[in-house]
Amino acid sequence: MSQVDLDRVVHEPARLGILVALANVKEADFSFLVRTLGMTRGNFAAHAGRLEQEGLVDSEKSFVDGQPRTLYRLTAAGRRRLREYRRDMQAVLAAIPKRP
Amino acid sequence: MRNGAFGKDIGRALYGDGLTELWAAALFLAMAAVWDVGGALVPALAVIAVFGWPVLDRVRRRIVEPRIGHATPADEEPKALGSGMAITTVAVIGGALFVAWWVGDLGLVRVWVAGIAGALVAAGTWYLAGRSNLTRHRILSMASIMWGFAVSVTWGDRGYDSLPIFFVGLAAAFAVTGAVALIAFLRANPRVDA
Repeated sequence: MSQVDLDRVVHEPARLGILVALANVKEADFSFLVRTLGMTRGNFAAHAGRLEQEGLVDSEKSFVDGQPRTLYRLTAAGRRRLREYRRDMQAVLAAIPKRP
Repeated sequence: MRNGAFGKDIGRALYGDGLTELWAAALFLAMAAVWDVGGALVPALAVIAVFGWPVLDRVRRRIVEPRIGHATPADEEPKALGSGMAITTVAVIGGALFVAWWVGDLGLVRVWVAGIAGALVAAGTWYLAGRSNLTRHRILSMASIMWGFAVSVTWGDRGYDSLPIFFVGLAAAFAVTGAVALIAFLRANPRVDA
């Protein structure tokens, strides 16, 4: 059997959560994502940083009513990688028998 | 995070504060007032329709975002949304006209105008429920259609003047739902100052 080949950057659960959350909105800030995903701030920052390094997510820092705000968006590359991951994952899922 | 509940959680986070219902309640109340009082209140309706949403955004920034953060809903396909709204409106109004013509009494449209308005509001609220995944939006949708039907049955003889009654009732339902949702939201999400 050939080895299952999934995008490891996307496949990691915390990063996958961030990508899926961002695929469901136009943009979201740090607090919204941390709260919705149930992650710690440090863990989120580490994974979001990795996704930014890979060019899957971009961020924009600003001040709103005197408060710092970091907005995150999925990039075009992020959308493409997520689509490819979905296709690969569907192929893997289809190969699992209903009663393994 | 629970698998599969993802989109639902995000929809709920975006629409869970009840402010959308409160804005709709203000809009329905203004529509009732415009119908009852007349053209003098048209500017008030225009102000609520045009500036209501930006005001709502400001309120969200002050009371919602310090609690759950900020997110902008995904863009609609403007073409799909526009054609969906057009098809629904034409289907509901055209259907009503067809039935009235079939029965041979076009005056029925006047009697059932609140029912027709109820069906249109129900379609809009059902669409919102699809985005928010909130049960209360589905309940409001069903309540709109039932209230429209009830107004037509009870006050249908007033013709188009039954519309203010329909809009006031609808405004009350949306205001109560929005207020209860907002209070529950504020209780469940204490302010977090970073």
